[in-house]
Amino acid sequence: MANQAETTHAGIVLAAGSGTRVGNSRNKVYLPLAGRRIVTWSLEVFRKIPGIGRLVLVVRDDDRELAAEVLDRELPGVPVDLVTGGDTRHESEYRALLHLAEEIRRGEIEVVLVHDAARPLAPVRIVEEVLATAIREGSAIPALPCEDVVGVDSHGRMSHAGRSGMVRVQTPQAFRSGPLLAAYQAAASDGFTGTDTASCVERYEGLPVQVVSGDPRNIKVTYADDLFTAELILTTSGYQL
Amino acid sequence: MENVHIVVLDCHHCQGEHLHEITYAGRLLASSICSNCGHTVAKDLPGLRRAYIADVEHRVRTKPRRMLRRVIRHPVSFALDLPGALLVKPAKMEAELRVLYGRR
Repeated sequence: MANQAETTHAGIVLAAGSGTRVGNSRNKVYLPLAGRRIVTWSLEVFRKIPGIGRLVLVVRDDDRELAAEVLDRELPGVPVDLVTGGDTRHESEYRALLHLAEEIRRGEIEVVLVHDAARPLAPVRIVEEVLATAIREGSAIPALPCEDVVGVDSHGRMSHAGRSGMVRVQTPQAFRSGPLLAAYQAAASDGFTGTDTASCVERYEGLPVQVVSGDPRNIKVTYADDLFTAELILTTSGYQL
Repeated sequence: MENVHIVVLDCHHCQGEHLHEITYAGRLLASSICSNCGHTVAKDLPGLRRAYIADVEHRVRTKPRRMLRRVIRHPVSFALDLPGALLVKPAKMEAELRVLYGRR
């Protein structure tokens, strides 16, 4: 067992599967946003947390050069490991975990946080909360209640059944590293591909996933309009989220 | 950074993922145009010009610090890139001004 001084937490940012790419188009996470790339903002939130000592950025193979250039320019002196991702989110996560596997087995990484590169506005408060909860409970995901969701029955009529407790899941999601790695190794043996990190951990490790309060500002850049919203949020928060 | 980027994003108007042309004025977003339906999101130009002036002031103020950081980290590539960067600067500024006055 590693002592406290040797233990840290790791932040994985997934930028390998961020949207489709056509012709000369660029991966959206490398778009500028308030003077820095979207992916830089997504990494920056982990850098602000003192307990997170390892950073991994999962990229597409043909984005490696661009990613290295962006990191050198926008996060100078911050050690970030580049890992080539797979065809699915699940495979990209697994490759990042394999990159950290030795440190996890030696007990040097306690919690792993997994974050979408396309969510550049995750507030520090959320990262601190999922990290603290994962240390205590084993796992944590941020989510927002779905207040505007209604059910529809088979006749096309509004139904109140099954509405309670629905949430919209965000990232970063945090998990104790040992069970997380074990779950992904078991999934690899089975050929199972999970839709998100929590589903894989729940299935193979039987860990209940603790939900913490998300933040409406923690948007995922999906639509063109989201870029303008993200820039406005950054500006109005004085770039301090 | 270039002032026009082509990227695949979802379109609220025609739905689905399509190429979008994202235009910047310096570091600020100016507009996005969906290549499929032409749906455009654009900032109003007077507001964009005001924000641009404030941003240019910030860029000028922080330029010496940013240049110093590059000199320290990559002195050779900085020295090699500097003449080219100076040569293209007027064209870059002209492109930014074109965006600000709606002429691109």
